[in-house]
Amino acid sequence: MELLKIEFLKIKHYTVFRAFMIIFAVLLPLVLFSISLIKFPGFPSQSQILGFPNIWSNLTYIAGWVNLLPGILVVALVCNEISFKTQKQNVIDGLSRLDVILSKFYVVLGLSIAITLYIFVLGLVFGFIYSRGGSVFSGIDNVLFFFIQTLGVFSLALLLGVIIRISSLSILAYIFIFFFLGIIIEESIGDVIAQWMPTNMLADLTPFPLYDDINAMQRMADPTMEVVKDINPWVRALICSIYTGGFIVLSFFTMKNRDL
Amino acid sequence: MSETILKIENLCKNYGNLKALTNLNVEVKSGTVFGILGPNGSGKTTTLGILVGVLNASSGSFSWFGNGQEDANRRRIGTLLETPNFYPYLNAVQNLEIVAKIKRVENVTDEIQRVLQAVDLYARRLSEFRSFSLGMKQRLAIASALLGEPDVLVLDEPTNGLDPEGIAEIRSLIIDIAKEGKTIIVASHQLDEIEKICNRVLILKNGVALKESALDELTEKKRQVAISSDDLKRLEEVVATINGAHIAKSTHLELLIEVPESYSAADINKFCFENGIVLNSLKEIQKSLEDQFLEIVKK
Repeated sequence: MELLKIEFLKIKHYTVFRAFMIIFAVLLPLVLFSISLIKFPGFPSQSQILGFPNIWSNLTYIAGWVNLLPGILVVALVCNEISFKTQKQNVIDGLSRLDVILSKFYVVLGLSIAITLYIFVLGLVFGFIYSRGGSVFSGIDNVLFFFIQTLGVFSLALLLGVIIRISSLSILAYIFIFFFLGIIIEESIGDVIAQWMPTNMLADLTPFPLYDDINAMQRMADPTMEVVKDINPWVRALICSIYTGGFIVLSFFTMKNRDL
Repeated sequence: MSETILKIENLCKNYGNLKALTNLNVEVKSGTVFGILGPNGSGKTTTLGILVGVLNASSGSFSWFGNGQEDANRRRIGTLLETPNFYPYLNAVQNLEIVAKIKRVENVTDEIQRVLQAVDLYARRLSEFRSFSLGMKQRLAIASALLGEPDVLVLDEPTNGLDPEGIAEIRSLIIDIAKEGKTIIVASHQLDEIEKICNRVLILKNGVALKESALDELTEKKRQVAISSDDLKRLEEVVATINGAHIAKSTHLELLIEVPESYSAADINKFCFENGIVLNSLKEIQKSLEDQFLEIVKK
């Protein structure tokens, strides 16, 4: 708790942090609001997209992409400590190297919880506005998967910051991983193995909402088609949690063996 | 018998093939103002970096307060290492609040006020760190080191970037803290700084400890006296008969002689007069730390 308080002192007056969080908070309802205004030919109606229970899978999928912003913020927060040499000063003043990593992990955890709660509230608001029946809590497990995904992605951002140390390079690496690494892995080694890789597994926690429908249609057309992404979402969530733990442990050992 | 605050045993630090520190053995007793002196690249900051946990030693060990290398030890140490490191977007008070939280300081508001006043920065307490001049940044770093009344101060080039007035103030502050019986470890390449502040000195060169002794021992052991007379040849003969004295340098105008500490200038004058020499001049030259340092480092 003390570590979290220390981190709060650092970020509460950090303008970039506030700016990113405001953009994130405004962008997401704007996207949802835009969806509510546009009628997509051939796509489900607004009430099907934004009403219960589909709101949970649709919202978490969209939020998964918008998570790019707070992820960049996490990279910046870690790299700032290195470029300001405050990480070094924190150790000089009495924090252990484990404390340094844990304090950042607590930020990541706090941020993930806050964003997930925001998503939950946003889902409820849009769900109640656009629902015509449908169970409120059906598909709510998507929110939990979104939390695990957010925690994993932010922990990966933390690891990148710790390893690369330079803000601009770390952010570029994070953006590259966020958008392209999964696709490159899929193209290189095929979907079957790629789905087990950390970035792909994290991305698949909040899959494209129409993925199952498209898959079903394709299987109707070609019954011999192989079903690739068939990992149980709960198993996926468990493996992603293990990957997240790995990112944090790796961050610690990178930091432990390094001169500050 | 003073308590040992810091014990360093066979400490080494290598960067690849470069030996930045080789088998350093030092013991710092409570209440000592311990100076680490050396030219640039001698290993001063490396030594302090290892002692405050930011560098990993290649081999050897050290122990603070007899507790080994526990992270909690550092909360009892106020450190200024190299440059002042603070969050640029936070003001002085906000930055010190973070340090106070890490060090688990009680009465944070009062403590922050005390240390900011001590370094004459209280008026700028609400200014962002990024707006500070180099000297103000250095003052804030010293304030941060003083926070929570640490048992030990570790200061690396503490007067770096300060104007002459600021240098005098900070030196005076350090001397006042030393008078309270606090242990202070100061690394500097400024000989006068070490000479004014410290009572024990370690001289480092290329990562090797060349000498460690009390400052008095280093500066007073070899008192020099410059003397002249109309008959320099006779003077040389007389000096040769002084027990423990020898001629360090001889010119056609004067002799520079080294005498034991027990001989005062008056003793030498009297001795020469009793041996039939009237001295034209007699000038006592206390060998400075600079002379000693250069002598040791050039060996």
